[in-house]
Amino acid sequence: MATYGMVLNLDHCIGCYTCVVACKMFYGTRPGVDYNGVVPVEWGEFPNAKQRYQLPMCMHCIDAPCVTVCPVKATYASEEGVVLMDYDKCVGCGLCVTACPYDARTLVRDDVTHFEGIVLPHEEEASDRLNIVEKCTFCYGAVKNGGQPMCTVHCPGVCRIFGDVDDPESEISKYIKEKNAVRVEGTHIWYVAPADMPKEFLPMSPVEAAQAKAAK
Amino acid sequence: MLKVSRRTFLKIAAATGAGASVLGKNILFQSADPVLAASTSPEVVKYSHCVQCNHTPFCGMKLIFKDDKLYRIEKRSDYNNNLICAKGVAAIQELYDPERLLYPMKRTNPKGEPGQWERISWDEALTTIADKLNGIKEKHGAEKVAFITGDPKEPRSALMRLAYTFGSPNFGTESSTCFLALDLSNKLTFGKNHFMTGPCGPGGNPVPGKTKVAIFWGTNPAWSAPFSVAGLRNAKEKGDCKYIVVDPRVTPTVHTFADVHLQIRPGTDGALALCFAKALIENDAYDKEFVEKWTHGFEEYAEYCKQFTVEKVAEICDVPAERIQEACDILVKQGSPIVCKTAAAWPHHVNGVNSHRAMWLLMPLTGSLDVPGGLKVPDEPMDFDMWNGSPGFSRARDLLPKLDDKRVDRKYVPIWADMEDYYAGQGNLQLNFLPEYVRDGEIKACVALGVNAMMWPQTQEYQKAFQDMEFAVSADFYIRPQTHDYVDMILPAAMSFERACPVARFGRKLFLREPVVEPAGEARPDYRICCDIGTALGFGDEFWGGGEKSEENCLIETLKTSGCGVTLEDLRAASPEGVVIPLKGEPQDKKYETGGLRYDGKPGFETPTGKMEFTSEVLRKYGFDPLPIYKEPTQGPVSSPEVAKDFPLILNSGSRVPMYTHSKQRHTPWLRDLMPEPICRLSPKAARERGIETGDEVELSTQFGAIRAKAEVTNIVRDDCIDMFHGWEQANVNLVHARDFDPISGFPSYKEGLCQVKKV
Ligand code: SF4
Ligand code: SF4
Repeated sequence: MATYGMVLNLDHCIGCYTCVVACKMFYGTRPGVDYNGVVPVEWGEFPNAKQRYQLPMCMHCIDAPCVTVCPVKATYASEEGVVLMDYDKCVGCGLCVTACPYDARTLVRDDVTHFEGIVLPHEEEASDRLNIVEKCTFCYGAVKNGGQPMCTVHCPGVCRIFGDVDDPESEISKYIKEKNAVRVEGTHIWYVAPADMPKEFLPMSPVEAAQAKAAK
Repeated sequence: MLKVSRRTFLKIAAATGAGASVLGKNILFQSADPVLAASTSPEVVKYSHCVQCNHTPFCGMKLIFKDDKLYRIEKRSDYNNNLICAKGVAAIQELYDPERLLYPMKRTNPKGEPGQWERISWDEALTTIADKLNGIKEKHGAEKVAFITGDPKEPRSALMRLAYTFGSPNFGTESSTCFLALDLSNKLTFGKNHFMTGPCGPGGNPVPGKTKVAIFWGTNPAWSAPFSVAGLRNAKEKGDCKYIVVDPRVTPTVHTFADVHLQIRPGTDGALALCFAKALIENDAYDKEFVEKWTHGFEEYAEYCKQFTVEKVAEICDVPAERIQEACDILVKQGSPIVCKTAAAWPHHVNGVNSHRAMWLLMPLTGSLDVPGGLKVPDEPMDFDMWNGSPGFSRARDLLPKLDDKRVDRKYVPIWADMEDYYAGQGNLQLNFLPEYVRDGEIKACVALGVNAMMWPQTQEYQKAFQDMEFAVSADFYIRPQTHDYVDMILPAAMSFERACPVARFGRKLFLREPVVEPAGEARPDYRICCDIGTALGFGDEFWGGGEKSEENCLIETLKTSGCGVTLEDLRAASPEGVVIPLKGEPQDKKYETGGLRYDGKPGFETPTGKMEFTSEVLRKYGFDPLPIYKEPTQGPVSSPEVAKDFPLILNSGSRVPMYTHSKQRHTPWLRDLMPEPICRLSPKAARERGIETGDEVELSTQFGAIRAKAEVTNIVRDDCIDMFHGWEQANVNLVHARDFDPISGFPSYKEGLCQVKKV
């Protein structure tokens, strides 16, 4: 059995937003509905000033809080550990949105598209979805067909490595080993960070993230 | 809200007869009857390349269609540039943007007022253009008509053909504010521009195991050429090359590559380059044999460099002396070859050409010319011009020299005008003096393709120039009020997936780009627009009668005259794969020894002395200092301290952001959402001193005016700098830039103004 995971190499990220836009195209998401993001973070001062990027997305938690709270089992984890949505079941209650420590979920409320009144071909599927919750799927469909997540395929920085972490011969397993990638505890995400990146900017475990969210 | 389903959309987009509602500037697709098309239709794959940034990377695209509509854009694997960026992906939104300009329009109100447009037929448009231009030609001479391309760069060769056939040498491009001054710097040094510099050109890329030092100087490929970063990083990880990054900003290029980052004060690059040269010369770390045999003016140059000590330059550039010393040590210890990767930021200073020469000379100084791992000159160059037309097709070689004395820029920038290399198919009018040309009656009309007046400093003067012309017509994808409020007619241009010309070229490999969708509305490819106008002007033979076959005819002529030996049929047969044109002989290094760098085939360089010139004899002849001298920026804390009292911050504009190229893509929702408003970036310290926080509305002012933007407090800029992205209609930074020009190139000084920022 495979277990899917993704490495985010924050040292490689060039802040180009290709991952964000490629994802929006693939899923035809509505304005304001983003499955991933690029967030600049900074430390130090001139002439030692630094800017790098965080790459927020669904961390595909193990024992995900969203799965636990969903009253209708619309949110579920696949056998490979991917947290998925069944849009047919989702009732749009939004409990999962509140429960997600990473704010990685969006309740789609507004029937809007990017060009007012027009649904482009790639938006058609998503245009049927309203009052449901959307999120990153690790491109489960594409992956099951032997493909890779869109953000990963298109990342010019080669920051994202995806695959089966159970298979020691997979690209991701080798990468984790070679780069000493750190697993974000309780999730299916690993990361490599610039040596001097302050801890507060590193990806947090669901528990830490929940605390941070509560503090806000 | 009114929602058009996909099925309706398909019908609308397919219907070439879809009506336009011509109300002010909103030309929308109109609704139509739904057609039946199942969303389960099979996916059809086609191939194209991206033109969202500057039409030289040709990033490969795999286009997935369903029901004849573009459904998805993916990167194309097994292709030369096989990664796309956010702008490339977003091309799908540009293609289907309901605000695209779809029909020729003439204005119904006076120029200078917000344009009111009336749809006209192509026939009417072409007849009017021909009448106006031929009228001006008869009365005043053909040279009074300027032919201008902005973005895209693609149609340049076709517009040259139009200009020169019509009889005007006054063809110019946006590159006369962009990178062509680098080209001029190369020509002053080597006699020819052998090396495509800049983030997109192969020149300047380090080769693993060969290159010893790579200097990324004023360039940020992370945002200007994202496709190149992974390859460059591999090169870094493999060899023992050391990387020096010189940039006033802390860009991702800095953290990806820099062994040393020199975050210099803008405009001081020349001093730093001369300091590097001094270190190399004093430590005997230069290539004596090359210098002795193949260069001119070394003594004078070496003497001049002496004054640029590390301490002095640390002060000029305002970076710690240890860091400069560290960079010097790297250069001295690592040895050669070295490469310098540069970009269009360089010439945006009044001393731009000379600063760039100072940098450029580091390569010949270290013997890094045309050797593996250094700056390689292509073997057996083919007769394409820089825009993948050919001098034969554009007629720059046969017609332009005869028209040369009618160029209108010579009295402003004689070196620029005289150094144009017609043999290589170049002839670029320096457009920065357009207001003067029009004021003096030297230019009375223009044909513009994709021009945006916001690109020029003191934009209003250029807008007035368009307004004052007897006739101005501009082709574009959109109605752009900043420019089109001042022209008489606008023409709808086809976007990249709708056009074929020119070919994509990677060195010796050519790819045909077949149009993959019909042009929207009545949009036409710019190559065709040139042929249609040419035919209407009475040059039917030269433009094959215009019409639908125009692009094909242009491709045939280009390929034929390029001497590449490949025909359009060959390209079609191979498509979507490319065709490689093999070298006839063996690849060669050091072609200056064997005659490969001169038109007459003799050894040496195409310069007055036949050598690589440390002291430029062309500059000397025109009364300039022949050395690559360092001069302080005209506007700056050092040279104009009285101005700096009120305007203490250096205004740095014109650099790239990841989501936009220049003034483009503001219509594209995915990209616009990433930076919805004009952003004025300032450092935490500068912000603290002014009580400014991120998100505050601020006024950015100079001696020349003020604009408003949202503040972004960020580490990426120096404490004494402002970083303001250009191309915003609502906050055009070029309105507050001076019209100070480099006297050699005529380039504006986008990176050296003085300004103040305050919260409003
Ligand atoms: S595509 Fe890659 S390099 Fe670009 S922002 Fe996303 S993760 Fe970073
Ligand atoms: S870098 Fe981006 S915008 Fe430029 S050609 Fe490549 S994909 Fe297109």
